[in-house]
Amino acid sequence: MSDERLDRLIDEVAHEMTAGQLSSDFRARVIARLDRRPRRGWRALWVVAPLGAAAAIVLAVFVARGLPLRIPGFQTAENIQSSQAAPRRPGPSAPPDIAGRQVQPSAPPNASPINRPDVRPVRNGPRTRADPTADVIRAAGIDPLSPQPIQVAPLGIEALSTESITVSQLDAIVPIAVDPLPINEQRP
Amino acid sequence: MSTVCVSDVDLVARARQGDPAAFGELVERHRAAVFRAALAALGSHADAEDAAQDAFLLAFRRLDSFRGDASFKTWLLTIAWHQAINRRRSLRRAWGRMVAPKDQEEAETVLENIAAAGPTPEGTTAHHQLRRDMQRAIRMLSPKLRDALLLAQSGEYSYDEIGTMLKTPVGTIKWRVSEARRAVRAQLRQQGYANVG
Repeated sequence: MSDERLDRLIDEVAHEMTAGQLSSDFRARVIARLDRRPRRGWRALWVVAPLGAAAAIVLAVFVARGLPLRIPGFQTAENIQSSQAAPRRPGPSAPPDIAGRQVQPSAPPNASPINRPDVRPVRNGPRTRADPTADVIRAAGIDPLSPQPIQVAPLGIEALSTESITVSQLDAIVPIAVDPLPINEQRP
Repeated sequence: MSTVCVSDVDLVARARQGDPAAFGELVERHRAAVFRAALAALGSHADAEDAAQDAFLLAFRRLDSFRGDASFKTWLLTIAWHQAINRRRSLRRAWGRMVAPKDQEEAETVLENIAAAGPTPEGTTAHHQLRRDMQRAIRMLSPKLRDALLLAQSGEYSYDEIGTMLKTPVGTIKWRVSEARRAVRAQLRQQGYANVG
């Protein structure tokens, strides 16, 4: 068998290998699939789902980092700023000493501001008392938000209250010496 | 509206406007060409039909990208060929995982033999045995040579269309066809067909 004849046979076999008939309803099945939801939607789901999971994890991390700020009774930076904005001194009509005492939390009269059991956090400064809440705030990174004047304000109030209750001592009344009348001048 | 004497370009324009009958006509006109291209790549009628369906669906979704630079048939065949090749790769990977051959080449050989083996309508004469062995030899060719030979001999495509589908110059396609024939002759000679070639 010559090469040319063999090549023709090879071409015939190759032609047979690609011969075939599609099913009679091929067109209808294609048209029917056109109405279905495209597979790309499922692909998009596979892409969006991991992104959504990652976003949820990031959100959870931020919420977890924000938990110390929500401890009951703990003053957050916002609360400190709002309390600072509000007048710490009593109103003009109220006696300053009473209002000052009302502003101050309960504390022993001789307690210094440093040792006063105050819920406000201890900021940077000479204070050496270990305050776990302050450590938490520093760990949470909100120290830059804490205004420095907060440490000064209580001292100012106490000083005023002290001065306000100081009563200037009155001058002592000099006794009036009355000389007794002489006998000659006594009336009958 | 009749679609018998409407060009492919007009049908595409109507299909873009949401006319399903227009796209159905396009399917009817080019289904054979798409199917034979998929069959040349996959070797299985069932896989080729699935690949042909996927090709038409993808072409429908990408109708807006058809700019008319080439014929619709060429554009469609390019999509169909890529779909068939992707399916072929996935089938090879799946087969490799299932069989766990010693090496990947052995897996491909087994796959080619299974694809080539099929019921023959004729008897077991020497001539038909030669044709079966020739078919198996064609399956054993490298994908580049086999694809070029099958597409060229299917009778559905010009060399220009085959070059566009395979993204290969026409001269290279012709060389691959010639080289495929030479390789098949050499394979048959090794199998004992001394009088061949």
